[in-house]
Amino acid sequence: MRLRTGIVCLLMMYLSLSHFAGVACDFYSISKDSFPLRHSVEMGLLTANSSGRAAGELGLALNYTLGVEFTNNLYTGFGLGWMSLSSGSEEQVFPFYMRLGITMPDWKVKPAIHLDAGMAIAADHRDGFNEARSQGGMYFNPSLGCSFPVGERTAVQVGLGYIFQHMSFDYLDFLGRTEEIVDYHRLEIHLAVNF
Amino acid sequence: MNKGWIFGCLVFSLMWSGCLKDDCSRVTTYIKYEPVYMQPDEFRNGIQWGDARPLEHPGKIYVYEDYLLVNEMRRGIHVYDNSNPAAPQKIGFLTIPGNMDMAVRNGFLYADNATDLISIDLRSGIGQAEVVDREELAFQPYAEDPELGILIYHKTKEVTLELPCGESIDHHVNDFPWILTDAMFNGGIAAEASTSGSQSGGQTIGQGGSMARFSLMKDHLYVIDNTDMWTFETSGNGQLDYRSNIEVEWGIETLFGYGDYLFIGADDGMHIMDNTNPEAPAHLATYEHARACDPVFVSGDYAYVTLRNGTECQNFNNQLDVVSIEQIEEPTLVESFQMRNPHGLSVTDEKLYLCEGAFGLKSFDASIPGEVGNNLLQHLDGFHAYDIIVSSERNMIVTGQDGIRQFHHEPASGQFYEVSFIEVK
Repeated sequence: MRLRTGIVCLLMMYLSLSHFAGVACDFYSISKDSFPLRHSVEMGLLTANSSGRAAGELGLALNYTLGVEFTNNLYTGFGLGWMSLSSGSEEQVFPFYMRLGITMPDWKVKPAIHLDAGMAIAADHRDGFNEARSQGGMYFNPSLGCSFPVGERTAVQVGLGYIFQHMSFDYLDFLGRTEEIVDYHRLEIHLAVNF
Repeated sequence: MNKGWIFGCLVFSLMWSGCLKDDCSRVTTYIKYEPVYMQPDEFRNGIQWGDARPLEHPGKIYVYEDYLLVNEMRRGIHVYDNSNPAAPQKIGFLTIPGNMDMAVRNGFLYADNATDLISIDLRSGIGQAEVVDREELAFQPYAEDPELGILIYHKTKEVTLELPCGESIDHHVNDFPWILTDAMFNGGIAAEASTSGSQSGGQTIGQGGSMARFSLMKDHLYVIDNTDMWTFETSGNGQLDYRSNIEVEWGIETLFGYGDYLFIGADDGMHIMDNTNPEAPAHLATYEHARACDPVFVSGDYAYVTLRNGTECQNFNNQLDVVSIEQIEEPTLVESFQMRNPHGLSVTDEKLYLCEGAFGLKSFDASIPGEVGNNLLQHLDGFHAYDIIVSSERNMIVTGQDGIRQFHHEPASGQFYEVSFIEVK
């Protein structure tokens, strides 16, 4: 239920913002070339960590970001995605975030910096036997990358980022009710296609 | 150049990934069990009458003649003059260290005194406390400490502990591989005693509820601990003579005597003992059910068993099982009825009265046992009820966490209403 609500909210946000961007462009008679939309699909590999609930396990992330370029080297947008911090189903989240990005447009190979900040909703993991619940929390992802053009408006970007994700878990065990509060700190190597 | 940059990124990430550690803390709220020891001299010499005191932790109740006896867990017995159920009067408090159960026959009170079983002469009137016999170590102690004495029970305390996730919690919790909680002596939560009150052949026997661990039948006292049933012959002068012991299984909780049989409620079933030879009851049959707390009440050819959930009970069902014992060696389930949190129960005049824990008290028409759960007569909510004694034709006594309630009931209609309340302080 929580997952479904989150996805619906994100979809509504996406449609609203897309619509708003289109309407705004029409209203002000601004061509899309003035404020071009920027799409980015990213896949990330999260490095293993030496401690905590998911010690030694690699993670994965998939994100989609819709941005608007305000200047040649500054863009902003919002995105949503899926991230697995371990192989366990209880450590999967759906982050949604705002992005601020900086690029160097005149360079052939463009350095790119972006900063994502938002929240993540935990996947709807529930275990009836021990009444387990997981909850998401703050999501923060600054990264540094390099973009290689592969078409007129298409580029491939590789980069390195840091991910902070707050989560909490509570469950019943043989002793009683236990709550675990985890701040994940991960490095992420990502590959993105921008168009 | 580009390849070098990418390679540099990978090397950089691998170098630093080991330096990042997740921050993980674990907050656990659990029940800590603290052992309570007592020296044998301390609990054996501590029996005395005293002034009435407030009810604090009521356990089992017992009705004897016009007296209402209420166990104060581990401390003793409150005595009330209950000749007028609408206004029970406090008489006094009988201190019996380690006491949880009781039964009365012919003016002798039989009670557990920590590991001992004692009989107290009440014939000269309430207010005397002469111990006329004592069976030392009738209940085997679970542990002894040369300095602290005998382990009586474990006191519970809610503890919240915060630890890093990687740190084991084991050495912070209990040192004992087994725990003696009040629930183990109370059919799961807290309780009363069995057998129907009767006066026949010059004998007067008191009456308890469906969660008892003591039962008086045929001049014998039957007592269960967590695994065994013990038989003592009771003589006219209050003497207790050990007769036999039968190992049943771990997890037995309640004892109900009916006719030539003893019905033992266990956490995974109901055991039936043949009591034709009262000195040495023998196992006859077992009715198995899911793991649960389960008091039993027997009426006619049917046994009524309640199963409920809760931490102590390890169960996820709340139901009333009606079991046919017409073929006593082959008890069979007739029907199960969904309940909310059923505890103690009683059947009289074809009416079944059922304590529903935090959901009050219900009455059912039991004239057709196989349909009893469908024939609700009355449900009184808003109080906690865990066991019941129908003490007379018109009166019934209900215990709960907040005190002892007495109800006037109409045998014909099964309707009831509250007439008095002894509140827990």
